[in-house]
Amino acid sequence: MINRRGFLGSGAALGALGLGGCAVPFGRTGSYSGQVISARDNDSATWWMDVMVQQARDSMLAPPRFAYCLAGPAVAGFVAANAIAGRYADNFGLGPAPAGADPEVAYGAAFATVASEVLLTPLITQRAAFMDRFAASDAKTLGAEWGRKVGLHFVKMRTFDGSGATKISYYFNTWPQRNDVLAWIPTGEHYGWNPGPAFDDYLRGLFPGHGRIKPWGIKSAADYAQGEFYDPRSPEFAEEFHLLHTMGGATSSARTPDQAMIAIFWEDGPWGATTPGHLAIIAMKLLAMRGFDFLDKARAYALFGMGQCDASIVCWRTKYQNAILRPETAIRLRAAQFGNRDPRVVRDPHWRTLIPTPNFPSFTAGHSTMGAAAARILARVIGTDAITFTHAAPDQVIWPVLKGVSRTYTSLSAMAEENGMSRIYGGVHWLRDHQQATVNGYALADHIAATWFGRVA
Amino acid sequence: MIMRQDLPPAAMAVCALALLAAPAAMAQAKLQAAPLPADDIVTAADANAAAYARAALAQSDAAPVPTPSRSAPVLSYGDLNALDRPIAFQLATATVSISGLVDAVWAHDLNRKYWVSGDDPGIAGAGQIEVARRLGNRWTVGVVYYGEYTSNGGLYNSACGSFCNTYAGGHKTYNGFVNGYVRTSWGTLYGGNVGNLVRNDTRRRPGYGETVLAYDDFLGQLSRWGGGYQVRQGPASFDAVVDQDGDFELGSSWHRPIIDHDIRLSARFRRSEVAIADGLGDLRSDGLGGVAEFTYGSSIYDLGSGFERLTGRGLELNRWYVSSGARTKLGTIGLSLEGHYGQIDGSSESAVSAGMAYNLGRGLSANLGINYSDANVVRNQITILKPNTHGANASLRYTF
Repeated sequence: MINRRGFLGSGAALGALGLGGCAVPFGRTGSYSGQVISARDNDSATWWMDVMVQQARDSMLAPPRFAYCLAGPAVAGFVAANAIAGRYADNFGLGPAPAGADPEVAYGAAFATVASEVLLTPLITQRAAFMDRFAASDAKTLGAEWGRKVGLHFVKMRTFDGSGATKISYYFNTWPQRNDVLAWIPTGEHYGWNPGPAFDDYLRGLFPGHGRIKPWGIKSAADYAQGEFYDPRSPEFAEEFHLLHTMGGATSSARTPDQAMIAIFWEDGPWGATTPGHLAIIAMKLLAMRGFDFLDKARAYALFGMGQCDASIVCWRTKYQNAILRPETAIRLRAAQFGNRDPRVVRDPHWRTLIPTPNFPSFTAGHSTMGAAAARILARVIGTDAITFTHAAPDQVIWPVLKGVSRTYTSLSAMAEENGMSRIYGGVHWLRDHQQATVNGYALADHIAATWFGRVA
Repeated sequence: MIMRQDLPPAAMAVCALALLAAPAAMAQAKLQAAPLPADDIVTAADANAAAYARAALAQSDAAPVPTPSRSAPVLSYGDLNALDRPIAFQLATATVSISGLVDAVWAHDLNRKYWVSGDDPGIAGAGQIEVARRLGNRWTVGVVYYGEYTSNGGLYNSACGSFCNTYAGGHKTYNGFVNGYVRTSWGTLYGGNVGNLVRNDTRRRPGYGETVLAYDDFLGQLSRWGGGYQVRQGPASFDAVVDQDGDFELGSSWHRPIIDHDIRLSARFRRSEVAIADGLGDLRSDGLGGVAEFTYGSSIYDLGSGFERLTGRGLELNRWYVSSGARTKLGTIGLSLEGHYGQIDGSSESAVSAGMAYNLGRGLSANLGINYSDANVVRNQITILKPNTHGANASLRYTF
């Protein structure tokens, strides 16, 4: 697949050919887990989750794509290991596993089998490094064979789940076509952030087909792609318009410096760990030192992966089925067309957002859906929302302004709220996008946590 | 203050709806139903959601409406939306996608005495059509056809990478390229016109606008037809091409943050031939090159170098070169400056390019490039490097 800018860069070449201890500061090693947990907490499940986040950075995956990629490997790995241990429900009915098989080896084999397919990389060195952690034995051999079998089962099961690159990038016309004043039009120019990464201008809509991928943990994305946007003539819309106009602008005087930093802290792009990877790193950190063994963590990552994948699908479905314009479009272009009598709804042609407006519709917010899903699943697994933790942003190399910056939260839901509100402070999302996304994210996470992989009595 | 949606009941309603049925995606799954949670976790989250929204709205309510600028942009991003969406459609079970660009070019030779007289405006364009589908074993198969056209056979233009008609045996105004591929988790296999596969993955990134830095490649080129392989392994990618004559190119690149910076390193080796215009025989070429690239914010700095040994027709020539560039993006404007210096058997080759790309609107950009090169290497009456290019190019480009 090539996009508009990719094509530009191809020149005379065939464009399609390019297609294709916890004390280390971020950016100084390839690993993310080594920067948030000690070596003793780096069990097999965490090790592989770290591999996934590294792959997101190395392959420059877009956030929804990486969210999709998180589910299959983590679920396959857990199912393979749990079939040996038998501690949690066998929801997929793949057991029993061969007697004597090593569950951690099985986890790695299943995880790698699915991960290599969704990431389109053979993971040769990662597989070898993982297997070197285990001495040769019959248990290792049995575990590897069983894990591969489970992995191939999931690969086959998901081959035509709608995730192919030849599908998700096209077919806008499969969604309702909106032609009113709220209609979304793709992103405009990039204003720049100094020092910050270069973004392309005038990008086309990202992954219109992502919302049609089959979810993992919920029956149908349509059940959770809930909510409607405001009538542009309503006082609620006027309130939102004023909120974004005053708080989200590049030169806003209403926004505090701390809120501006929050917007950058959670930007997580345009490449790097991305939003789901950022949340995965928080999961690694919070699951450590809580008495969870390898299988408990494997279950947690499976639920987390399901939640991220389904959150991205639900969110992208709401985005393209509603096709609501971004605040930037409303403030710079459409204000006079809304028919809103509130005097605060006034066009500002040169208004600029603090952070770059992403190239997909506004309603609902991806950060908020994925953040809420992650926070709620972690709260369900750990048993409480009230966890105090301090955290540094993972992509400080891309955003030099984040060097040395960390933020402290007193609860998981506070983290999710700040993550979601960062998009309002940055000027790229309506508050309504965040609020409905949060509802949807919590709801699907509650369903997944209550339904899948319960403890066997 | 406006009334906000009541979050907890809405969440509960959605959740209850979804719990009524088992996941369709996993028909074989055996699920255990569980009661909906209504506990401290939900209560705390609802309180946080309300608090954050209330605080933000209170902040904005206290703020005056920003004074809007009275002037409107001449061309806003609301314009030029005709081709917002990729041109793609379904053909049986495959996806067909079409993309391309059209350049209206003005090319001026700086060696000419008069600034405008003698300059012919030209048109250059390139288009690509790809047909691809995923198979039952999760492989993706596809075919790509790429064509480039120029109204002026001697046009030096970034749409074509350099001269539009320089491909050995190529046509003056139109050249087409085709390849097929099979993409799997173990890499992608290509067949067809794949001569640029390795170079694309390992070269210095081209400058902005109408820049083409001369000589920034080996003189030896692979033949038109061949096969290739490309695979990614963590931060590294590996590429290989073998052409119809048995010549080949191998390359690898590695891209990952090191210490506090984003670093990309690449290297390649090419064994190929230099086609000599007199038709009396080619020179054999063995080239080894590398690139180091450093990203800071929206700027990229790079340094490339190469060594090439040319043999045949009584010649044994050593060539070395160093190329370097800086590029940055300031809002919608991309700027680049590149330089090249090298020697062949003691004779120098040098080139400088400066470029700018200004993204005017959706798909529309104005491009400028000043390209200077100086080399004239003749050995045994064989022209090894072509004489100079001193040109300024400007184009208005539309991509779709």
